[in-house]
Amino acid sequence: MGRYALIITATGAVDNVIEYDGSAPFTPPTGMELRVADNNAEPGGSWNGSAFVRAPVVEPTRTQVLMGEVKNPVASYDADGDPVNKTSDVVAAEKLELKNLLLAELAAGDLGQERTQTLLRLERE
Amino acid sequence: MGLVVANNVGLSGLVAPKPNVQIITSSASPGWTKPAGCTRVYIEVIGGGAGGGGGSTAAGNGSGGGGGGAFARAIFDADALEATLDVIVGAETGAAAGGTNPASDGAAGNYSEVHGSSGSVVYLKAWGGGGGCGGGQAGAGAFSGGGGGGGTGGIGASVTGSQTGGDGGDPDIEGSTHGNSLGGRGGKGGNQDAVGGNAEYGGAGGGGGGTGNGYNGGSSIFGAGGGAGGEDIGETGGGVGGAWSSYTAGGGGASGGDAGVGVAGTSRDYGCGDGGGGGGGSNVGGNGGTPGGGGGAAGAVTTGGIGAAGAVRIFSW
Repeated sequence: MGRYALIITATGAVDNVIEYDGSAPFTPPTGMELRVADNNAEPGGSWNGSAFVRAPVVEPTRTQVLMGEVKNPVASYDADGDPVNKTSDVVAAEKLELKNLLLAELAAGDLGQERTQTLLRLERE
Repeated sequence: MGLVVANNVGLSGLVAPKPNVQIITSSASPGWTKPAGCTRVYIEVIGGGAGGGGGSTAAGNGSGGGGGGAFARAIFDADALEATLDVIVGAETGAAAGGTNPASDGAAGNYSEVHGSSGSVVYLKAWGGGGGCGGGQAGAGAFSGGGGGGGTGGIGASVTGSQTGGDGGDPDIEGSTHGNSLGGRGGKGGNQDAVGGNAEYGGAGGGGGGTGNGYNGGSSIFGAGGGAGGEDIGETGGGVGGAWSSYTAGGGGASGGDAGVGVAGTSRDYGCGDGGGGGGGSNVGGNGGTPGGGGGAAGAVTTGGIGAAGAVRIFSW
């Protein structure tokens, strides 16, 4: 059994990676072609004509970063690997920035459940 | 009398039909031909598991587990299906590289599908899980999120550069991205310091990396378990992989403990696989169990567990 990538011919995007024995009849779905996959072939990645390119890194938004940061007390690690915590000023600034971002999202009408709960917590503090 | 097999049910001289069972592990066109005389066809499709994140060389950077694959099933009147069906079986993922800071993210899981040989009708499809975030991707002091479980309507979200776990794959309810899921939605990947979300038919979410040990992968009642989060440098173990046939995180592949490899999730010829355990020390994450189990995240420095291949099973009578 081998790993083969299904590639959308028109765009080079990798649609899927499949198990295939390489010998049984197999017809790729319309508009796709089959190619032997390597470790970089994955859905969301691409075939550039000579090699597979992994799925692009999507940088998290500032809101996503702060959603994690407000639960994270550690600012960095020292040379011994011990955590160095954030100062109270930094923590307060992160919470204020996140609260303002969430209020702006709420005003735009697309605040999800987890963010709504976070905003309520920040409002109570 | 018209009887073709021995009566073993003792009811009015009628016999229970003996189903034709095919467990398909390789894609083919056609991958199934309707047996003569069959009237009902039951199909199960399981999406592939996602890979666990690779391990970083720096402290404070535990990686996230991969999401499990979704499970979809349906019974068809044989007359409603084409005479032959093409089968696509989602492959296992590669292993996410470690030994750098940041380390590589786990690869997304692959979908499995059954469609008519005419190419016009997709009868059943189950999506793969989202890849776990590599160690160090989220920055110093920020531990990586787990990948979302695959859904029956969409792939689980992969995670890169974030402590926030990936959302489970569609369908959703009014945009909800809550941790545990119902129906075909995948479980949400665990945030930093949190277990992966559980699911019903969707794949489970991968466990998050932790400020201490890695966290457990989510479980799924019908879908595959999520991989566990990996150990951070200097801690005492990765998490436990999520299980099939459960709605409580953990119960799958065991943790590598303080200095061992994550244990692979259990593989099965029925149901779905369990998620792999998180690696401990400088050891690899456990591979997901076949079909569909998410890979456990690596301990420090080394590679994440492989997300398992999907599967297609077709029963006809």
